[in-house]
Amino acid sequence: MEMFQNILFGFSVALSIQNLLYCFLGCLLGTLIGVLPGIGPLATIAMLTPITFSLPPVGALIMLAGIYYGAQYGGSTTAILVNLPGETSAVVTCIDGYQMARQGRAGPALGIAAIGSFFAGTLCTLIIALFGPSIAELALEFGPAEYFSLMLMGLVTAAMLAQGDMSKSLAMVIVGLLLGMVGTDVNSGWRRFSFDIAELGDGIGFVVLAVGVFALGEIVANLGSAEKRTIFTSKVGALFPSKDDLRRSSGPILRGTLLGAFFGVLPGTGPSVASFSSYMVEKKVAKDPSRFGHGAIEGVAGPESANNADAQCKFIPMLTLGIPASGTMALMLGALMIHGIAPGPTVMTQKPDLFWGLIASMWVGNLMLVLLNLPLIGLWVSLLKVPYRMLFPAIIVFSSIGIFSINNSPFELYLAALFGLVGFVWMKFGCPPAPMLLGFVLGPMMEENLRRALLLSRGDPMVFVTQPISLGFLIATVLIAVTMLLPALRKRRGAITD
Amino acid sequence: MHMASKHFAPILAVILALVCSFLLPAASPAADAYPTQAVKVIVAFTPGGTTDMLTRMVSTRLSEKLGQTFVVENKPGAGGNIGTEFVVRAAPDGYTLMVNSVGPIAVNPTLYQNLPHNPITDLEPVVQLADVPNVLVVPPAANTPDLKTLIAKGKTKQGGLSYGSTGIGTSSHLSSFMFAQTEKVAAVHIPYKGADALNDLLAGRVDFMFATIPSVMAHINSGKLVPIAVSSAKRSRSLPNIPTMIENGYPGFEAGSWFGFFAPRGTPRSIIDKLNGAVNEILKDPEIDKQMVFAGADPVGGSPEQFKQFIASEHKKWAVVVKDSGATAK
Repeated sequence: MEMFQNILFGFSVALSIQNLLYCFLGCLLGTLIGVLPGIGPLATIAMLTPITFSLPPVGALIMLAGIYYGAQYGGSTTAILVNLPGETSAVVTCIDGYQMARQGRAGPALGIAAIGSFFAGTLCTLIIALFGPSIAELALEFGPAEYFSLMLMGLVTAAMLAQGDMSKSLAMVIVGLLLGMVGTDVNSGWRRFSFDIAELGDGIGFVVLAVGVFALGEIVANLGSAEKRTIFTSKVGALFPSKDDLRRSSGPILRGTLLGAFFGVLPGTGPSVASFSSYMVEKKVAKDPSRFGHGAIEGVAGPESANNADAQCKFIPMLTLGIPASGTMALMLGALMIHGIAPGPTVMTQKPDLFWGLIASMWVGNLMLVLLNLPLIGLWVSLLKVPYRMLFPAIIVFSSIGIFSINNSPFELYLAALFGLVGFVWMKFGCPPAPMLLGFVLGPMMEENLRRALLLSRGDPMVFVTQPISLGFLIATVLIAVTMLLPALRKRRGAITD
Repeated sequence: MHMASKHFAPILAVILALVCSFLLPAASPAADAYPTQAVKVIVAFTPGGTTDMLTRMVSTRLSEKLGQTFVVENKPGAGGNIGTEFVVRAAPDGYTLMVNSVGPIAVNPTLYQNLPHNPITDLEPVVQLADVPNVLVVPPAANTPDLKTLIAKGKTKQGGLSYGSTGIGTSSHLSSFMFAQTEKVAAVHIPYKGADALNDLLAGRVDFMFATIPSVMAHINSGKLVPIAVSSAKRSRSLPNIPTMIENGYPGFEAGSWFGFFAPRGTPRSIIDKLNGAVNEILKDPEIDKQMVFAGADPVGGSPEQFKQFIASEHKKWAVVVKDSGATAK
């Protein structure tokens, strides 16, 4: 009952004309920056933070939060339309979303992304309101050993991302792990594989790699074959998901949301881990996994819901523990601090208008986003009617602006161009880029947590099995590996006895 | 693409403005006219950090005061060396400035081998903005609410203590190193990337940490972390009840972050004086003062000479600590 009153109180804060306006502004801005790669919520919020010092704190946070989760909505748009991941988390959406667009199903893909995100946003608003403070403690249960075992499980399941030749996918995972090694070693401060290039000292940027391999590589490939260039213009089908699409997507959306909420509570997982996990789960439970990678709507619905749920639930550790899960979260934490509000366990009792107002505004913001995005679908899809010879220079221009804007570094533009070329070659050899990106994301996190866990245990590897949560993940990892290898082994035994 | 470009127009306008300000030849630097065009303020770290936040706070005020936009531009990478190098090579006309911190200015010359610039001689100090002291915090469950118990635990615990830090060669790392070295306590350094250390500190996996005051203020207030001492010369205004390390019997234990404005070497003195005067006035503004205290920063100000002297002493101090700690970055 008290919870009900709290939520009502939150809505009374969020629905004031002023806060509605801040919420709308944030969502609109978020959608726009989400569409562009590189220009992300971090830079935008950093630019706007000084302006918010003169705003009331609740309004300021509502607007900044709107930018943050609005960007997750916008990020999928270009991923689906032109294979250009607008945000880190949208990389997974490229896999099947872009294939759907090529089959003339960009409308349903965009639609299901918006619907899935809305559902995830709604459910997560409820989750935060009901359980926020109590599940926040879960974050503290996760130390380096737990994170390592979790990431190891993720890496073993990476084989699920394979399309066609398993050995090629595994090779790509290893390429990703190797690329992830580039940069400064956290423990020694030494630079690895940087070839004395200062810009490589902090490693290869995820956006640089993803935009290069996906968007630029795709452009080179498209230009290489004459007939494919017209594929977009020939057919632009339905604008909205059909009944069958919705039926297929309901399971993935629900599972994606729950997965995303789980990863959201853990501040030590990056933005794309949730969407990758959701994709692999959907492929595993699907009756016909071979459809994945060829425009399966489940491969859009699940990850998109997961990444929105993840983004929103990252507010749980931020607000209730004062632990920022990302640079963007750290920025919002800082903005609150400037207003004299210290997020932490006491924020709910000391600043109920801020806590409940923000939570209610998230639901309002999600509603705004879905209302904002659904009518835009027609417009986006009509974009595909633009002849490719005019579309691709625009994609390159916007990609370049986005990449340059991350660190104001021209070097990263050259690097993206190089990865564009490499991506094209990989495509020609039939090497899927998604497993590479998963390796790239998980590799550095695994290494860091492995070494940290061993430093804390003074070199004793038993720490991974004596911690119950870590042990659980390790057992699950073994089980997953066995279930994946069994069919292959059985086949081989069959072949021998034949 | 037409519809799309309409949406991107404002963002594009900003980017074009930035590009133009970069390409246009700088006007002749006459101090009374300065500034006659937008001024770039480089931050050598990512958006959202303390340097970035302080810079944006002050730059907004500088724009109002001097009538030209002060555009903050982030050039992060290599521990702040990339942004610093950029400003060292920029034209000394007052239209490229930077806000830099203790790391790239006073620590990196010793920490990094083969640094292509010398921040002490290649940059003109303009004014010191603020001090951000570190505070020594421990988790409450560890039952080490003061230095004596913490040291005692360090002498008895098998394997020694573990301390978190925001990365190798940071003031957070070197403060703990100085403390452990003085007390001859066995302590293992657990480096994290930025603020990630907080999670393991709250959960009690690491025994102590020198953290910037704003990053742990909330947890101190809620009792999830226990503050033991601050690392500044004077007590911090954000934590007036917590004694300094010096008060605790560590003479000269001054190890915090500080931030200040810099210009490329050769920037006309008249421009530096004008900026120095403007920033000093801004720092006296009660509104800025309030925001800084909330952010855990203590405003400093003063003349360029005072800043220069301070930097020289900092450089000397950190050179010794970095060498003792054995930390290097290659």
